[in-house]
Formats: sequence, structure tokens, C-alpha cells
Amino acid sequence: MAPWLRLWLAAGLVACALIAAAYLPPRGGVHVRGVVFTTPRPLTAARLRAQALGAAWRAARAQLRVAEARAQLGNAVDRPTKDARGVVLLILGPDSLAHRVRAAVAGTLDTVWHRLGLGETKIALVFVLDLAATPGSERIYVFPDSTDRTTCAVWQAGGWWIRAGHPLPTGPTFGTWLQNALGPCAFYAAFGSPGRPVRRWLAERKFDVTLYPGWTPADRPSGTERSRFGPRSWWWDAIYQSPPATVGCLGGRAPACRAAVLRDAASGDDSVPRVVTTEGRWWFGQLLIPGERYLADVAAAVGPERFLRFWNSPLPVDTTLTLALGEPIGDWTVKWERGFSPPLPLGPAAPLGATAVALLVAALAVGLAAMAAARRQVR
Amino acid sequence: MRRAGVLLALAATALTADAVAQGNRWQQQVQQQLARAVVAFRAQRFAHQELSRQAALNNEESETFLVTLQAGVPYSFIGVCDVDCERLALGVATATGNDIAVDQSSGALPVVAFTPTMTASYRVTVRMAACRMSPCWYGVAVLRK
Repeated sequence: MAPWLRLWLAAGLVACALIAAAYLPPRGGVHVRGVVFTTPRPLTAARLRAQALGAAWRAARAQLRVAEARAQLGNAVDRPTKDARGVVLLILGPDSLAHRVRAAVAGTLDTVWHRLGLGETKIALVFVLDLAATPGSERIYVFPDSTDRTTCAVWQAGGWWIRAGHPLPTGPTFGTWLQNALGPCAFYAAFGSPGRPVRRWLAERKFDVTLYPGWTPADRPSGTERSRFGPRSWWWDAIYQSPPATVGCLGGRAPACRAAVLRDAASGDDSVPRVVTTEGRWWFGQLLIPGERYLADVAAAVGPERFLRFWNSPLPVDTTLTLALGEPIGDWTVKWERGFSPPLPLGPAAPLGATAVALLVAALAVGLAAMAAARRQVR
Repeated sequence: MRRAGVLLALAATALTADAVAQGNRWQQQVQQQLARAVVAFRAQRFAHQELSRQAALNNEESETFLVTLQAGVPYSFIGVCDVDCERLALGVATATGNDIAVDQSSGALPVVAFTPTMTASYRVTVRMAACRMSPCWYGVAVLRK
């Protein structure tokens, strides 16, 4: 075999090895991030079915118990005294623990109430803190309806924060947790019952855009929240479980943002559930990331008067939200999304490492070809 | 069981809605306005108060209640509502639903005058036509000469 042929064969093999190293699996796979409790379990058809069944069962159980309570208790319940703050705190659990934490929780709740700019409200908020419940992230909201238009109730397990033998929770983190627990009920307290189109839209989405009622300038995402999206890295597990419009919106596409915001806005169903349960891991499969802040940020951006007109409007949601924002919903939402993260790169794009390797291989090939051509030159 | 107790408590607190709301400033506004309106109508010889009702309605919601009226007696139906209410509609109909008298104004203080030709139960309908922040409290008084 001629010596120059060996050289060509060797160069070809090296090039093949480099290309294989660059392009063959496992490169490009989804790297599962997070610690044990944030790592998603693989979604199988059976698990999805079981989750849907479990959610339906919990909602039915909650509604049944509300109905039973109405039938059994009637007017015999103790009537709380008028609370000028518009919020009533009930603590359930061991008496000693409840007694010990009441002042701290009531004080923090009072601080939160004032931070949200709330005083006496048309819709009273009843906050039930259950210290005996199994720790978890589940919350139950009981919204006003035609039989009771003036109360919104929140049930929250306190197990992670408040336990016997542990110091009392204090500080801004506890306040933020308590504020977020108020969720959509804080919107009801601040802006009253929404008009029918907004109520239907929110109910269809399980109130996902009202979960964090932080409409003050100080309410920005914490480090934990920001870890779900850029700029340094993306939480691909959550993104891969998100609907196409959500991902498109993260990528900075205005029509996708509009679709993500207005999903279910045209629902013709007039029945709105009174009891809504937010599941643990609600952030997986969100329609908008971070949707839990969306309406609070709209309220902060447009001001309370314009937001109230949107909230209470009899017009369709797309019309009234556009009027409130003063610009197309998609455009405003793209800008809002940019406040949290850079655009998610969408579409085909070569990774930086692969591009460098390819250029290196190309340069090597050109160099070898040039060398061979030089040696074959007739002098 | 524990969870059941919690939810019962939750429901119990929800049941006390009217209690929590009782005496709030919007309800007090309605009480005061209604009292003033009744005094004004008494000066016009509508001396007897047949009925007084106060409740809360969301925007565009309505409520109907029955009242028995005597034939040949002039009645006045007065409606008032809280500061967030921009328009309250008031109407009287027969028990079968035929409208007899409707307030034509577009304000928050509707008044309907009506003299029935026969003694019967009549339906009074209150509609919260425009409420800036729901719910809005309203009050209705039925007076007769």
C-alpha cells in the first residue's frame, strides 16, 4: 500500500471518530436536574390516569364535605366577631401549638394584608391554617358563590413551617409563603368577585394566573423560583412537559403568548366550581411560565383602577384584557416574560461544542488535502 | 377524619359569610340611605312600611322576592345601593311573571309607584345592572299609604 494512502485512511478514521464522539448519543439528551423531591417521575398512561382520578376524587370529596357542613351546621356555628382587617384566621391542631403560634401567624398575616394594600374588604377572607394535616403543598380554596357572595376561604397545611418543638417561623420568607397561600382569595378581597367571563376563564385554568398575589413592586421571584428558567440554565423537565404555546411564549413568540394567556377564555361552560384544589407540583405543565404571577403583574403594571375594570368587565377576556393592557396581549406578555428570562432558543440550532468540533474537522481535512496536493505537485 | 374536621371548619367559616360582612361600611351605607329614603317618603304620606330587604348581588345578577299587595292601595318601591353601585334596576311583576311596573331611570336610586287592581302576591325583581366592585349591597323598601 502506498504511504500516502495510509495517511488518508488514518485521517479518515480520525475524522470519523471525532464526528462520532460529537454526534452520537448520549449527547443531546435531557439532563434531569433537581434533588429527590423535585425530580419528576416518568409520566406513564397509568400514572396520568391515576393522577386525574385522584384530582377528581379530591375535588368531589371537598365539595361533598362543604355540602355536608352546610346541611349539618346550619346557623348553629359560632359567628366570629367583625374583623376590621377583612381577614379571619383559624388555626386547627394541638391546642398548645396553636396557642403558641397564633400571635406570630396573625402578626405576619396582618403585615401581608397591609403590604397588599388591603383594609376592610367587601369579600372577607377566612384563612384556615391546619397544623395537624400531613405536610404538603396542597391548598384548597372555597370561593364565593350565589349562596354566599362575601367569603373566600383558604385551607392550608402548616406542617412544613410550624411543628411542635421547632422555632416559630419569622422573616420575609414566611411572610411570602403566607401571602402566596392567600392566592386567588387575595384577588377576591382586593377587587371583589370577577365578572362572569373572567370567572369562567380563571375557573377553567384552575386559577393558575392568580396563585401569587404579589402586586407590589417588592414582589419579585425568589432564587428558587428563578431556577425554573434561564438565564444560566433551563429546567428542561418542566419545559418538555409544557404545552406548545407555553414553550413558544418562552421563545418570545407573541402569538404563542396570546394563546397561552387566552387558553380556555372562550369556554362556554357557565358553571364554575366553588371549591378549587391546587395540587403539589402545580408548576409542571403550566400554561404560562411563571403564570402564577401573571395577573398580579398585570395589576401592578396597569394600576388598580384599570385592573378592576378588566376584572369586573362583562366583555370577553381577550377584549377587556387588551383594553386594560393598552396593547396586544401577546406583545405585552412577551415583554413580561423577558423580565424573568432571556428567550428560550427555539428551532434547529447547532450546539457550540459540536460546531467547534465540526470546524476543527473541516480545517483538518482542508489542511490534509492541501498537504497532499502540495506533495503531488509536479516540479 | 382529621381532614374532614378541617374541611367542616372551613365550610363553617364560609357559612358565616353574612356574619363577617354584617355591619361593614357598604352595608351601613345602604342602611343609612334606605332609612333616609323611607323618612322622605313618609313625608309624602307613605306611612306604612310593608317590607325592607337588604342583600348583596354581583354585577349583572338579579334577585326576586314575593310581596303581597292589597287592591286599591298605592305602593312605592324604593331601591338604594352602596357606593360602588352605578345602576340598580327595580321592577314589579305578577306572580306569573308579567311586568307591571318598571323603574325607567338609569341611576342607583330606583323608585316604582304602583297601585294594584287586585289583592295578590307580586314578584319584585332587583337587578344589579352595574356594580364597579362586586358584590354590591342593595336595599329595597316597600311602602304604602
